[in-house]
Amino acid sequence: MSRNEIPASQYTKAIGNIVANMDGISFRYGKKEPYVLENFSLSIEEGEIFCLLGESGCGKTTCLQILGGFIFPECGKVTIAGVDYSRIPPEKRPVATVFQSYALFPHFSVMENVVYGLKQKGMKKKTREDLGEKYLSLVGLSGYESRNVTELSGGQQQRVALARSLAIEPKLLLLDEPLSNLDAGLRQKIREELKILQKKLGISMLFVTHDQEEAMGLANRIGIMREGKILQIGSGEDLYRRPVSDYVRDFFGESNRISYQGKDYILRPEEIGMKNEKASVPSLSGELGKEENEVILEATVLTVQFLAILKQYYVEWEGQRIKVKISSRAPFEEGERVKLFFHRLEES
Amino acid sequence: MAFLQRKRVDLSTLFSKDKHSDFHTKEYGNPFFWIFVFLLCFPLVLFIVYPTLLLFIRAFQGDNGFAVFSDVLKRYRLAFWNSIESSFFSAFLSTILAFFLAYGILQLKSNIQRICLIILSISLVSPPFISSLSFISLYGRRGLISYRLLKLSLDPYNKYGVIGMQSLHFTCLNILFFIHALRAMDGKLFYSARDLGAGPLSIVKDIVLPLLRPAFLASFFISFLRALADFGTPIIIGGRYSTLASEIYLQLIGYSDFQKTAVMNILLLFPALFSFYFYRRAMEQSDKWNGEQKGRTRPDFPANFLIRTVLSILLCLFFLFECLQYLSIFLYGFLRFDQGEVHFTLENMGELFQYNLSTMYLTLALSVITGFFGSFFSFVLAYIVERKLPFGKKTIDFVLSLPYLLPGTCFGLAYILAFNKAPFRLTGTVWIILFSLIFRQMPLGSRMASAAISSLPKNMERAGRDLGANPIRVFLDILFPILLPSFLSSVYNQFTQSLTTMGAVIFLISAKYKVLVYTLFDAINRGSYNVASLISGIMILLSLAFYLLLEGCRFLAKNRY
Repeated sequence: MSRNEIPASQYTKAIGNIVANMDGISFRYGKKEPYVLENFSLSIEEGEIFCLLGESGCGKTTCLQILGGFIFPECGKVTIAGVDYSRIPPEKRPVATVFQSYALFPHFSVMENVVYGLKQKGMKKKTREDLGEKYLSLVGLSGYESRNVTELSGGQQQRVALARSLAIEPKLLLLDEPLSNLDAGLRQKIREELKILQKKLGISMLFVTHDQEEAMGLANRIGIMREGKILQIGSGEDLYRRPVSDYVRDFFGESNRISYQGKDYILRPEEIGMKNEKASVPSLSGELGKEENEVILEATVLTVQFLAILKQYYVEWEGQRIKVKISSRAPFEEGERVKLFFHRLEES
Repeated sequence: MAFLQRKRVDLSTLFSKDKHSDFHTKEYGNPFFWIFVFLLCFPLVLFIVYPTLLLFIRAFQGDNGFAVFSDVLKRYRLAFWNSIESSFFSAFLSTILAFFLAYGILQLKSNIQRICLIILSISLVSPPFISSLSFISLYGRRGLISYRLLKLSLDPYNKYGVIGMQSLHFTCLNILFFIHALRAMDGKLFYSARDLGAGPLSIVKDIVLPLLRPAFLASFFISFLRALADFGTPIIIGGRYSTLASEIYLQLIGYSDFQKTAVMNILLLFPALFSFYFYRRAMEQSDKWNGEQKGRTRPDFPANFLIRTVLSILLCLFFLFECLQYLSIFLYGFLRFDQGEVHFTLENMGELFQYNLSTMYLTLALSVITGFFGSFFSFVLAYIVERKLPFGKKTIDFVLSLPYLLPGTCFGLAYILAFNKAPFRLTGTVWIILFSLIFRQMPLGSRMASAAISSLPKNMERAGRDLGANPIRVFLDILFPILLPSFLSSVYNQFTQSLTTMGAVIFLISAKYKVLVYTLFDAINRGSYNVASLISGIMILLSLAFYLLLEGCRFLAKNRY
């Protein structure tokens, strides 16, 4: 990323204000089809990165298309920057979408792609190319202006699509699975770049994905969706530590159910620590609690798997099999007696 | 789902990179493989390369070879320019018209779209001069509409008649072509253009038209090629306006001067080669742009009220014209005109039976054989070329496209030259008609076959081999059932083409063996439009019947596998 600065005044930075709002939206793809979204509501705050997370078919892309104006809801209201846009076509909306497949115009050069939206605004050639330069350097593609977009790599195409959408200075940037077409290494890199860019511009973003790591890594707030409904909204940590349902919990990893002294505990494998006479290894991500809250279970190690950064154990306690993930320095072997310890945080 | 598709693309590119490793499998050491390849290639040489070569040799034979050439140049300069002129305008008009109509059709509801497509496909199963026939019967000097209804006496027998008829006829195929090209576009492109603030007109101007440029060029050049070779229309409706193709026909039928017609054909070949070259280039460009898309969405074509209204009016006019045309073909066969009154009659049927109807059975037999045998040959050849041959793909591809780029008159003459004496004496037999049909349609079949085969994942064959099937079993058990739908379409295409094509075959018929298209052409030339109408009606019905038969086959096959 280049360090070219964009004056902060272009984007008023006041977190807390609502930039886009969906209220009571219902949508279906035909009169006889079931509702994809029913009485759906969502608010995006100014300057935040919001992520809609869910499996394919949960309605997250439909939600994006309604905000973009590509489809109109059956009922409900879409407001962007305080204006009702429910029935306004996409070309008149102050939002821009980065499509999953980028949808770059194959017959245009990189520059022509980036300035296309500015051209529609009736901007003069010189002015728009200057702006185009600025946004291209912002995404690190200076010098690529006259290249044909079909010659670019996936990552570069992604950046052109991003620059093209940013250039029209939308109130809200919509991203449809923005990183899913990239390979793993590049995905991490672009994720970082996107975050830095968002901070720099202060722009509000809504992106959808099915990848929980992507959601956690990029978003300030995540809304987890299932069958057209948002189950829970919160920071990544909220959803991980305080899920409101089994579905949300299982979306962010595995869990054990342990019945102890008449109570059910739901614990993630990485929230359990292990100790015996050899060593005491704390849990990877369990919360610390008071000594008297600690639960200790006497168990036997069934299997061990060495997975580089961690070790995965299956242990048996009173006929229950419990999965534990712990630092790979843990020395416990198969058949050994160990004590499991965790804090009583959640009871159900 | 999108992920899986992407994965497959990745895998296929992966394997296309290691193509060379595939060429060291044991097939290449197997003499039977090479004998098989030889058996496949030999007919190509004998029935395509050899006749074409003879055409060139014949043109420049003898001491006065070049004298003949310059004589032809001088005498047929006007016909040559007429060819270029009429082909240019026909190609241009049919391309532009087809674009608007295709764009209009895609704005319609899907069931109305289907009806339009059915009407358009009827045009594909009728010979090019059929438009002229119905045009004359509707709008000619004694036309049903112009004379009997409006009391006008129009004279369509001139240059404009030829250009108009060719344009209207080519428009039908070009519409199908444009519909295909438009549907292949990625709807996301329109979404993102709208997202960036572009209205319908800007999108058409900035995105749709530029992306369709290859389609425009391809449609133009293929129509140009077809118009160059079309001699039926100028003969029927051209009056004094003659083109090189129609002159060749008259010279060959009337005087049998082989050397002169060979020279004329070569003259015609230059613009044909030129337009074929540009056609292929345009197609490659279009493949390149379409190949870039991942995770396509169905395009939703931008339009506003004005665009929709104009297109609807255009569509109504065009389809009214087309419907009248086909209606007239059927009706004209059963109507009689007496002093301004119209009667229903079966007399024409009687007249039809005076013509030799054995040509119908012969044509049907030839077309069925061409359809199945030609398609099978194309598919086997395409499989070997796409998957097995380490070299020679380009050469075979070129040889296979020769029959397509040679105007029909050229191909016919080449066959006469090649097969009128020992060792391959075939003239006057039914074989020469059959071979000319098979090899003239081969380019179409092999294109379809290559497209179908190259889209199959290679690993499927590998899996078959892995599980112990030999290459022939893999072809029969695994590939053939999967390819069956495209095979049947190829059979149908080749069948209808053989049924309706006139170009090459008309020079190869003999007193004993005639084809239906010749009988039709003969009837029109004699002025028996009623009989001609009945014959073309029969041709359309035959195509329809064959289509239903193949659909039945497909249905049965689908239930079996």
